[in-house]
Amino acid sequence: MKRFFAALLRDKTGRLGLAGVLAVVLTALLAPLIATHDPLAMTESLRQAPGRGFLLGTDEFGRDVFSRLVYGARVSVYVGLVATGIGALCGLALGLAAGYYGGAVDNAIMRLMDVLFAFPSILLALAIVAVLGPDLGNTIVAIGIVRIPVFTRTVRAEVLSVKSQEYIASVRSVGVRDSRVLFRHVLPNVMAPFIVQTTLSLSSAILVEASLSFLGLGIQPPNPSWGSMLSESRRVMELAPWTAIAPTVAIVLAILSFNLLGDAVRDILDPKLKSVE
Amino acid sequence: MSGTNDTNVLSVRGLSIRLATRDGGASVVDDASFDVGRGEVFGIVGESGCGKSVTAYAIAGLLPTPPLRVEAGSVRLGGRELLSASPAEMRSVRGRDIGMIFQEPMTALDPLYTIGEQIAESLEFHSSLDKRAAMEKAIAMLGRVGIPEPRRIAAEYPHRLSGGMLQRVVIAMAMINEPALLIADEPTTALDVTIQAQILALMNDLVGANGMSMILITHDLGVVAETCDRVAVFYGGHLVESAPVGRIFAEPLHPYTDGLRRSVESIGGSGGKLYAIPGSVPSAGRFGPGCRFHDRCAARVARCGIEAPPTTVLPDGRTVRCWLRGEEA
Repeated sequence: MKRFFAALLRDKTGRLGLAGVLAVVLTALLAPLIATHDPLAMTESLRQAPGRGFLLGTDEFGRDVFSRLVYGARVSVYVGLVATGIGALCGLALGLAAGYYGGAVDNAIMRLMDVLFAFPSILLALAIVAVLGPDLGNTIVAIGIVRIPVFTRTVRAEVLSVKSQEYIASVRSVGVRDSRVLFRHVLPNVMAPFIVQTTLSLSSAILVEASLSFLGLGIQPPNPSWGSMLSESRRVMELAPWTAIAPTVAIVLAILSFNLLGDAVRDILDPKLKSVE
Repeated sequence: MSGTNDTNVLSVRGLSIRLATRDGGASVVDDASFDVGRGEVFGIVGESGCGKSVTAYAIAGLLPTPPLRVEAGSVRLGGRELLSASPAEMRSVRGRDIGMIFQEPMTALDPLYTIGEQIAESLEFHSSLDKRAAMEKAIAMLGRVGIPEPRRIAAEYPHRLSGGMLQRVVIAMAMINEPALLIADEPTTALDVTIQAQILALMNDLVGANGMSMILITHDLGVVAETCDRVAVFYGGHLVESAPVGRIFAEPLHPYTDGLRRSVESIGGSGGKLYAIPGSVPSAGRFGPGCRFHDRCAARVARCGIEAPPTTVLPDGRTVRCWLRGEEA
């Protein structure tokens, strides 16, 4: 673990990604301390340009854009982490079962994943939210479900390759039972690509959340989320372009950071790229 | 040589294994019978895909099913039928009664556990030893297979060791429970020639010292000549000949065995062109009704292409599956 972080910090991409991710996460955690205004409070100064008093200006209701951005980070991080967690854990379990047991189990799980995969992720998330009703919890569940097939496929492919390794035959040849082979020998050996997938998946989850909120099915007004801020800015984009630019830049930087971190993690954990010690 | 029943550790009768394919399936091993005596080193030789590894996996109950399936036959280990044993029973047989050594030592150990942990794991399953005692025994075993500084090596991960060292570790792992039968599937193929001889000598010593039996699967006739007591030759899923190792080289009964013997270079040989058996092995599933070797056989007669020869047991215990010999006997 210590070696992993040392390698991450040695890597330029890793440093940049880690810094960005930490910035976003810290912003989310410390939102009440960082925000300069109440994100929901409307003031008299409507659509005021960035400057004195309002760091990034105000929106059409006179709310401080900077403070809304800061609180919006909470939503993004929370949704990103929890939704990815749901997708990752379900995908891990399904992928392990499909890859290890094969046959009918594999077929059933993978055909179900094919069905999920066949929908564009936004459309699927939309449909799930439409059924469950728009609120934060349902958005998270929807995004989590959308992410399951990606994890299932990654884990299953890796299990298939690990399963054919001689060391699996070797531990079975000394009489180790199935469940122990699966959890002690197969699972640890598929962790590296799984962790990489998890890191990379965080950015997708944040993006899907932003899209859902933009479409009005995620976080409900007046609560701030980057997607809903962008959505609300449409009406005043020409008069107050900062209301659109600020959440856009936030989304781009957050996703870039998570992706850079994901790339760096992959470079470190990928055994094919690992240097021989 | 082929001994009476009570001296046989392993007795395989009429073993047939099929591979399920889209177009119906293929016979991978057909009606193979052989015995392995107590303390005997039994060689199985043949080309790639002749069914020798599959036979070994079937004995250990490790056949990947599907696609491979035992169709018929019996495998008795110390008088106990293995083919009808439950998965739980087979688990207790593996490791305790049958040890296996694999071809690729580099991939035969889990990269995430130390060498000591892996050897101890197989011990913990078959004995009541606690972790510490199991580790001590593992370290002692590492010393017995010729690993220098076994205590230090036991704490190392597999990627830190060379192929030869790893194969010693794999041997230690297979032998730690002192199984009655050791199955070694091409144990030296992936190793340097200089290391090969060391590993073979080590395996022979350990097997001899513990009164174990060993099935040695190889495609290397030199290895067979050096280490085996008796040998079975496989061709295309048929066990074509089995005999004591001296007789196989001196007086091969089957034309295929003869071809194999003649295609090995010997020091001080004629220096002429090396003999090669004409043609190539047909793939499993493409065999006709006749002898599987008939289209490459120089001695074939009309009957060879029409009807598969039965296995003939000679008075001295040798077996051969060939029309030419069958009539003689």
